[in-house]
Formats: sequence, structure tokens, C-alpha cells
Amino acid sequence: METVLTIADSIAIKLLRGAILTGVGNELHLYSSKTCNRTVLAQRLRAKVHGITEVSLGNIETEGGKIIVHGEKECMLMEYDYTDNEYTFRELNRFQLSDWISSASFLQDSNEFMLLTAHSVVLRILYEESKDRGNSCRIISMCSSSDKSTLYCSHIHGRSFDDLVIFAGNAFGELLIWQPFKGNSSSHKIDCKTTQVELMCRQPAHNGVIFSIDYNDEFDLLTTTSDDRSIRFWKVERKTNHSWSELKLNVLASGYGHIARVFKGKIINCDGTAFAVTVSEDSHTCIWSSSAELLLKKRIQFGAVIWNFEYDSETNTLYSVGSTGNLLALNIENIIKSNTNTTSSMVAMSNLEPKEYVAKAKFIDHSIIVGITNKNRLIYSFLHNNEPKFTQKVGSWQIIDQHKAFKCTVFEVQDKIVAICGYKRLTLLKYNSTGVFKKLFDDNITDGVIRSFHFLDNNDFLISDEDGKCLLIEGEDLKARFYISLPHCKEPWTTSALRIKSKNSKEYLLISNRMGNIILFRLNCVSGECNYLHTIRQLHGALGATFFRLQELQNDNIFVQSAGHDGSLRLLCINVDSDTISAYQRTPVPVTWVEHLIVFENYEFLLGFNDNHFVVWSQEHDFSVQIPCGGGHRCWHYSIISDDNNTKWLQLLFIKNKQLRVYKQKLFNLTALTTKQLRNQWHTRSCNIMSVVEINNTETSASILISAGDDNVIKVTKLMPRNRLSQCAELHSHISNIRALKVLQVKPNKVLIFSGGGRAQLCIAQLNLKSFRIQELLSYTLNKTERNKDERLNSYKINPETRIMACDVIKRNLNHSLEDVEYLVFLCCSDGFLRKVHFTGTFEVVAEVAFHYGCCLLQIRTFGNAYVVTAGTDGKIRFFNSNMSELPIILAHHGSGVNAMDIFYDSNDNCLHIITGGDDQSVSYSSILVQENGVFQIKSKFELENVHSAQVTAVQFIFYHKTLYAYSSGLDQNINKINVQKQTASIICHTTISDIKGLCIGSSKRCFIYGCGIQIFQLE
Amino acid sequence: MGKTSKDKRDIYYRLAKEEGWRARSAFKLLQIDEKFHILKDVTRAVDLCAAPGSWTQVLSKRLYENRTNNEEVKIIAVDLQAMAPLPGVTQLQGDITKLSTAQAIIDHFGGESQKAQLVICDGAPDVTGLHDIDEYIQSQLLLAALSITTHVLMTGGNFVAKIFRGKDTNLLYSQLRIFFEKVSIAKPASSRNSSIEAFVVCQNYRCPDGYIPQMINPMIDDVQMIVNATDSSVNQKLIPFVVCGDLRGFDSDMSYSLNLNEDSEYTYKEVVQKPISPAYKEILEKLKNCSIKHSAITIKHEDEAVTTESASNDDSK
Repeated sequence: METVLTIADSIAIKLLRGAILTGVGNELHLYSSKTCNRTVLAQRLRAKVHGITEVSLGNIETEGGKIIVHGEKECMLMEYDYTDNEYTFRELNRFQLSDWISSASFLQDSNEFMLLTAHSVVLRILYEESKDRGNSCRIISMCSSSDKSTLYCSHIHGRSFDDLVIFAGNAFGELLIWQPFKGNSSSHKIDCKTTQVELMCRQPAHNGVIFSIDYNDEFDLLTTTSDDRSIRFWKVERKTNHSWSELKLNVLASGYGHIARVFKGKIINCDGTAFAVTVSEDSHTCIWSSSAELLLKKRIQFGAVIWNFEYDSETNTLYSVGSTGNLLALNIENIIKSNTNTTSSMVAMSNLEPKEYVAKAKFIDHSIIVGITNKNRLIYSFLHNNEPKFTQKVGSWQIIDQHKAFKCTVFEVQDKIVAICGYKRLTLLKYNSTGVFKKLFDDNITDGVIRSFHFLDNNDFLISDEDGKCLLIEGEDLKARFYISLPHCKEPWTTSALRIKSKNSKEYLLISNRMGNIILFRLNCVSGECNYLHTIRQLHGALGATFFRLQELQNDNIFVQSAGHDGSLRLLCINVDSDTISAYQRTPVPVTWVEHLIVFENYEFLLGFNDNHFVVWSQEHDFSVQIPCGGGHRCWHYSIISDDNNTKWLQLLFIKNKQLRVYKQKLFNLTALTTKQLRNQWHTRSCNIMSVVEINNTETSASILISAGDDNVIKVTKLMPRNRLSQCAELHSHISNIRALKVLQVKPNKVLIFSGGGRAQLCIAQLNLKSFRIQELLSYTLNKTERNKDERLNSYKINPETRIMACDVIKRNLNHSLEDVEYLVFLCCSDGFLRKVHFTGTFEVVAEVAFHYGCCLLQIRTFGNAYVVTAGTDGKIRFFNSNMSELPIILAHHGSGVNAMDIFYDSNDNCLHIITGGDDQSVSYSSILVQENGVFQIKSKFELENVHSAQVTAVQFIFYHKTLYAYSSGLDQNINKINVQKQTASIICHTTISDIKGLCIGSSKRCFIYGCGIQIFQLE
Repeated sequence: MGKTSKDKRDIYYRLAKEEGWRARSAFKLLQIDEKFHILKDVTRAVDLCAAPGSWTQVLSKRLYENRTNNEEVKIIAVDLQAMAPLPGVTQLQGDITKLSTAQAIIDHFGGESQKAQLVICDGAPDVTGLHDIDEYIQSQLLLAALSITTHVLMTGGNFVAKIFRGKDTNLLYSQLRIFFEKVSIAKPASSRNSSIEAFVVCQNYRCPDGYIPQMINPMIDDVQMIVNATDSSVNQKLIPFVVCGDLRGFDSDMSYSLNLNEDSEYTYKEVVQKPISPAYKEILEKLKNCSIKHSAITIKHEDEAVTTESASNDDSK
């Protein structure tokens, strides 16, 4: 089987000139930073690539070198050539040791290299090319340390055979230092010299496993990172530069910046200053000074575990690799270089009156700030940017208006229009390019204090006062055209508003109030009436939505995005026919207070606040800006500038301690090696279950993967031409990990997704296969009424909150009509119950029925629209009809749990084929004749005991040349093809995916294996 | 997550607390014994990597049962870490990869003629998330346990150890087959179905001719047969998979009601033995007083004074 695509752990990374080598699973990948292309260089190792070592042999004309790629016990030597910006690689030799290879290093003669095993044995290996005997690698000497503990990490220092130093770390937090080939006890064996030497140093370094060691001889600095979440800095003291005897280690400082294990730490040299970089299981990187002071902390791998990184000193870029196989770049120039490109300035207050300060301020454009002082004076100032030096200068304040008639309550600026609101009165000013402010409007228009002002579109404004009275002002004459009275409550005014014109010219007004309700109105432009239509209650919690954004205008549906102070982005849908609004989808975002959404180059960026930081975040770029500002309860504004290099800059102003501050920071650089092309958006945790929908029609043919996992996310991913995975949609309705998934096609372009998981949660969503929009239909908690009863009676909730382990669905048409349907959802539950939830066609619950099964159920399938097959931890297969009555037949398939099950029901001969994979390492098959009278009769049965050497977790039937086959896989990572008729099995390939949870074979003859990552094979 | 949710999700965790076991793994050894009777008539037993001590507890309970001559029973618990004492158990704080540890065990039992009848090992590393490393480290732990076992186990004795099942387990089985007449893989009912762990039950120790007990190091091993043991299909067939524990009893994957039976009312119990010194202990202590969401804790070791440094001029609200 040919590997089509691999997403797996990426542990090794090496930078070459203009290119990056990474290991992804057992593959070696080459990324060209110029073309953003990725090529798979080698799939020859069986093990995952754990390390890449390189030696460059270049001169000015030609460049080339050698690399050692190693994983587990395997080692591969390759050479490369670099001409005309093209890399070519060639395998020289491949061999296997009998122990794990911890690290590798080339010696001065590039035909010689050292391998260090996980039990402290150093091998000196000579590579020889011979015309007669071919290429070979030969061990010429061997040296072991007196310490035999299993190493978790190591670092080989030195290029000369006589002067190698080994730094190694073990599980007990000990740092072991020794010099091989310096000892005296040696013996000769055949043609290989073997020695054993004493450790030079055994230093207790951490409370827990040491995961990485780095040593830099320019600074005599050593760093260690550990299980105990810290990086530790050590000064290495030597008597002379040439001697390692009388070695002394002094601990300098420790840095605790991560909240999980720190897997890699390295020292980087920037213009003669030492810094350290760490990456961790918590998906963050930290940059440290050499005295363990934190300079930057940033999430860089979207929640995936980070295994390794490399630093490119020419471009000041960190390249990190992690558990999702992604290679991601981060520029750290502004952190480690003194000429920082973040600028901050405090605006001078020189020409204000004593005790006068700026109370509110906004950008008119990127170089003009307008503000209002605490003494109600309207002022403005120019901001001068000095680009080369990254400095800003603020001019003195100019006073626009001496008029101090009313206290300003609302101050808004958009499109060079300044709105100032207060008691009854609204003032609108327009900034002219000449530096003149022209008064557009200035009058009393309400009875009370104006509390909010929203720019709708061209010369349309909505204001709302303290009594909830809203006025929609529009037209050249700025007349109030619509009057709206909001429901009475404590703070009845609006938080955001949007005016929408549908394709058939219906006009809507959407507003959010401080109760968090979203209210839809219809505007009748002829009669001047504003009619209430529909409300969604408490969508964004208290304080309401902070913005609405029109996302898509369809003929019959209008999609609007909204967000608030609840850390989520909502998609709302207005149905034009029914004049109703519904919450379509909820996406949690890592920004607690979302304030704005802006779009660049089709990327949506959210602006908002996290604790006391202002942040800019996007799904594709994660956090691109984090500025400590003290929190979101303050006056702030931003503007975006684009420079000649298409670099976007963000200008932020805010008022803190009565002072106006301005920050300028690079937002992101679109021309830099962005992650767009290379990044996969696969699950950051294990994928537990997947279903493939093959689209084969005249327009398109594609495989759509619907998957769910331990990251609580359901993903819809499309397998693109040239075998790239492209994410189409994400669903975040689950609050715990997802194990059960059933995809039911209801229309050519529509599928229903039934999913279940922890916290007894069952979710139903509808996916459009054309637009890839997902509508959340239902989130249902099992057994809720019963549990509420518990809570009243006892101090403890007695009954467990069950996990849904698997599900399947029977869809039935009622009254012989295609429209009138009902759904029977069968659920395997961890509390030992088989449950059925009966839904109407509109997903109202008719009934919930439970059957006590006696053990944890693991597998379920329905067939013939009438029967249910189940399996559990007892290894038995049981049968039920759709009324949950058990049928009198039990098949004993396994000694313990059934981890995988597939069925194939042949309605021609009424034969049911069942294949299962067990925790007992065997694959078991049965066929059953389903007789007309509902009696089941066993036709045949067999068990294959030795096809796998660990638990079997994946099986699927497939018809091939009219013969029934099955594929199976398990934790031994072998894929077996089973001929059901002949009752034979053979290993057809090995996969790099560990902890396999299942496999799927679609009609496109592709085999998808998933677990910790995903691998796709093309079947013959 | 409530205080009782783990009690509901994990029946053996709860039973361990209620029956006074230091860890739920005690049930695994009890269920293995139910099937293989490895504790029957044993008076000299060694528990390797014993902390927190639940398997030692099982030994201490079962080996003294129905016995008049208690002085005959000798139980040694070996671990690098310190462990809370247990009645009738001699603790040996030592490294199982050291020959001196083996000698100390033999001496305690009373010399070469009085070697151990049973060696058990439930040790496991903290998993890293990379299955290949975890499986490798576990296999090295097993080899270390096997090495010391070849020193301390009497001919005919038994050996039980934890393994992680994965892609290279066949090699391990083959290596064990060299030393034992019968090797089985056991999966006790108390070990979760979803867990990769299983146990090897090796019965009837017989040291191969010419083999000198030693610390096995995969690279510099003189005994090439161990290194060269292959995962041939012939060897595979010899390893039976045995499910232990009564499957009609408690299911470790199932969530149970707190009211297990009508008569007794549920009371919450604390764990018998908390982890002694986990790696994250220090950082958790530090995080009681401050957050490192946007900053870090820096410790300068010259003066050991703790200072908190922020990520960037982070003035508080």
C-alpha cells in the first residue's frame, strides 16, 4: 500500500540553507522556505524519526553534505547536493542497532560519525564505499560509561574523536557527564576496540526526568529542561579550555514559565548575547535571558504538544514542530534584538489646563487622534511616525471646540465622523482632510441621557437612551426615521446594532441589549414602522454582544457573526421567509472579551482582551499581538496600517492612569513564510472516531472526513487533490471528549452528524456538504431528570455521569412519507446501560429508554433498519430489536473487551457478517442468517488469534473482486488483510500511527488509519 | 467535576480506598493470582519498583495468611524512592540495575540456596505521550527487572511484570521465553480495556545452560541470544493471552452508582497513600501564590531568593 499522507508526531528538525528538514512520523520531509513546498524525501524507516544530524561539506560553488536520520534503533545515512536552489538526497546506508539511539554526531572526517545509545554506549562508525561490496557502515570502536541508567536525552559536544563530551539526562533528574575513549580499561574484540570509562560528573539537576540538555562553549553555559516544568541554567567551569577534567557545574538560575513538561530547551547566540528558548507540552514557547528572566511567552502550536524547535539566526526565526506534525514559524527579532519594532509612546499633555486630562480618545485615521478631556473640551493631535527608527512622536493638542455645554457620555468615531452624545444632545462632526472639523448635526434629540451610538452604514446611525428609546437617523438631512422602544429592564440600551437589506429588499435591524438578548426588527421604509420579529435570549451572557458582522447574504438566509464577553464567536442565521433568527453555531475562542472582528486577506482576526492584555487572535495565526494594557474596562481604539512590504501594523491607543498611551506593533507579515500552506489543522489530541463521506457526482468527487477526538472538536476535512487535507468546518458543541459518531446522509448535500461523548452529552448537527456550514441542532444530556432528583435527595450525586462510548441511528419514514421521519438513536453507555433516544423529525425527544446491559458497552451497529448489534467489555456480541428487546442469541467473540467491530448485512441472502477486534489481540468473525421469522441462525464462525501482537482496535469489511475481505489494525501498528472465505490473514503494511483508534476505507479505495494522527494509504 | 466523580468512573479506585489498598493496582495482582496461583505456598518474594506499595501490601497480606510460622515469610520491597512502611516487609532503597542490590536481596533471604520464589514488578515510567519511547522505557524497565531476577530467583520460581503492549512486544516475549518454561500475557479485569498495559506471567524459571546472570545491556551484551531473539511466528504461538479476574465482577471501564448495594450507604474516603514527591510538586507549591499565565517565576540560585518577573512591563490592573 502506498502512503498518501501522514500526519503524525514531528520530533526532529534540522535547518539547511533555504530549507528545513523535519521528521513526520517515520517520514523525512523537506520544506523549501522559498516556494513553501513540502516534499517527502524518505519513508524508509519503520520507526518514527527522532533525530536528524547534519554536516555541511560545501564550498562556494557547490554545496552538499551528509545527514544521519535516526529513530528508535534504526539509523540511515544520506548525502545531499544543493545546486541551483534544488536539493537532491540519496540514501547511502541503513542499519539497525540492538538499542535505542539517543543522539548522533559527525566527526571531522564526514565518513565517520558517533552514535550514542540510550544505555550510554558510544559507537564510532565508519562509512565506506566499495565497488565490490557496496556501501557499508562498520563499528570501529565502542565505549560505554560506568553508568547504565536509561537515558531520556543526550547531547554530544565536540567534533574531534579525542575530545568528545557526552551530556546525558535520566529519569531520576541526574545530569551525567563523561568523555568516551578517555578511559583505561579497554579490550579488543575482533576488529573493534571496546572501552569502559567512569563518569566525570553525576549532578542531581531536577526533580523528575531531564528531557533536554544543551551546552554552548562560547558562554560555558549549559541548560537542562525537565518534567518539573523548569529550565535550569548552569555555568560550566573548567580548569583550562582544553581540559574537561576537574569539571565544576554551578547552578545559576531556574525559570518556571510552563504549566506542563518542558520537552526541549536550547541556547541561542544573538550578537554575542546568550538567550534560551524552551518549548513545552503546553504548546507554548518561552524565551529567556541567560539569568532565567522571561522575555516572551507565546502559544505557538495551537494547543498541540511541542516536541522540538530550531532557531535560524539569519532571519531570527524559531521553527517549531509538534504532535500534529506541523512546522510553524515565529519571528523573535523584536524580543532578542535591541532595536525593537514595538513602539510605545505616552502623549504629552503640555497644553491642557492643570488637572485636565484626556478622558476619551479615538483614531480618526492612523495619524490623527481625537479626544475629549475631563473638562469636556474636544481636542485632536497628529501622530508622526518615523518608520526606520520605529519611533512615534505626538504633536501638541489642538482644541476643536470650546463649547462645554454638556457632559459627554458616548464618544464614537468612524469614517472620519465624530459622534459626541450626552444628556438629550447629539453632536456629529466630520473631519476634513484640511484639518478642519465640520459640524454635521448638533441638537437635542431625546428626553434622557444618550447611552449608545452605533454607525450602521452610509449616514445611518442608531442611538439609544437610558430609557431604551432608540432612534434610527438617516439621510443627508439626518432625520430620525424610525423610533424603537426596547423592552424595559435595568439598563435597557443597546450594545450593538446592524442594519441588513436582504436580497429581496427586506430591511432588518438587529440589535443586542445589555441583558444579552438579540432582537430582530423589520424596518418598513414606506410606512416608517419598525416591527418586532424575534428574540434570542441571553446569547452572549450579561452585557450583550459587542459587535455584529454580516458574513453572508444568501437568497433565503442571512448569516451574521456576533461576539461578546463570553469567549465565544456566534454564527446567527436570519431566515428571510419566516423572519426568524436562530443561533446557528458557537465557536469558543481563546479571547475572553471579544470586542471587534476584522478581516484581512480572508482571515478573520478578533480584537479583544484577555485578563489585563489586549490581544489580536485568529484561527490561522493564533495570537499575533499581546499588549499589557491593564484590562478591557477602559477607553481604547485601534487603527491598522499597511506598509510597502504588505506588512500590517496595529496601532493601539488606550487610557491608563489618566494618561493616553499609543502602541504600534507588527500584526503579521503576509509575505513571510506563513503557515497557511503548510499547516494542517488536524486534531491536537487523539482522534477517536472518524467517518468518510465520498462525494461522487458530476460536479466533483472528493472524500470528506468527519472526525472527532479527545480535543472535544468535530472536524470536517476535505482530502484535496495532491493529497492535502483542508479543513472545511469545525464543531465545538461538546464539553468533553468525543467517542461516538454517526454520520447519516439525509439529502444529496446534507448529512446529519450524531455525536456522543463524556458528560452524557449527545449532540446533533446538520452539515451542508456544498457550503460546509454546520448548524447545531441539539445538545442533549442523557438521564437528566433522574440526576436532578438525585441532587435534591442527597449531598452526593449518586448516579454516575455516563460516557457515551458509541452510537448508531435508525431513521424511519412515517406514514410512507419522505418528509415525515423519526430517528431512533442507540447509545452505548459506560454506566452499563444501552439507551435509546427517540426523536421526532424536528429533534424533539419523544422518549428515552434504558436497558441494563451489565458491562460497559463499546460497540454498536444497526442493520436492516430493525436490529441492533452490540458488544462490550465482556467480549460478547448481543442482539436487540428496535424496541430494545434482546434476541435470544449471544456470540462469544473475545476473552475481554471488543475494541472494534464492523458488520456487513447482505440483504440478498439475509446474511449478516460480523467481524470484531479484541483487547485479547485476536480478530473474530461470525456470519448469521437472519430468517424471515426474525430467528437468527449462526452460519459460520472463526477466530484468528495471532494476527496482531497487541490489542486490535480497528476492523473494516471491504468487497474486492466479489470476495469479502477485512482490514484490521491495532496497537502493534500492523495492518492485516483478512480473507474471510479462506480464513487467512497477512500483514500488508506497517503504519507510523500509534495508539490506533480505528480505520476507514471509502469507495475511493483509500484506507484512513487514525489515532495519534492520521495516515492515508492507497489500496492497490 | 465533583469530588466523587472519580469514585463513579473508576470502581477499582474506589474499592482500593475502601479496602485500604494504596493503589487500585492491588486488584490486578489479586486477579492474576486468582488465575495463576502465583502466591500459593510462597514464603520468599521480592517486589521491584514497589512504591507506593500496593503490590507489597498484597504480598504482606497473602503470604502471612493461614500461617503459623510467620518467621519463615520474607518479603523485600525494592525502590529508589522512599515508601511508607508495611508490616512484615523489609524495605530496600536501591537501584534495580545495580548488582549490589541483587546481592543484598540474596543475603536477606539467606544465601544462594534460599533464593526468591517469586519476583513481581509493577513499575512504569510517567508516559511522555510518544508511544515508542514509553514502550521502550517500559521494556528497559522489564529487562532490568529480568536481569536482577536472574540473580535472585530460584530455579522453578515465577516472575510477574507489567508490560506495555505495542509494536515490539513480541521481541520481549521471546526474550522472556529464554528464561522461563511458560510465559503468558495476563489482562486482569481491573486493568482498563483502554489501557495499553498488560502483565507477563513467567512461570518455572530455568537459567539457560552457560548463561551467567548479569545486568543485561542491549548494546554490550555478551549473551547474543537475548539480543537476537526474534519475533518469529513460532514464538508468538507459544504465548497465550489469559483474561484474569471474574468478568462477572466489577468492570473497570464501567461507571458505577455510588450506592453499590442497597444496605450500605456511600461515604467518601480519601486516598490511602498520596504521591510522595511528584515532579510537578514544586511548581504547584509556587503557583499557590501567583499565576504564570503571562509571566514566569525566576529563581536565582546564588541567593535562592524568589523573584517574579513579568513577560513585559506588566503593570497590574
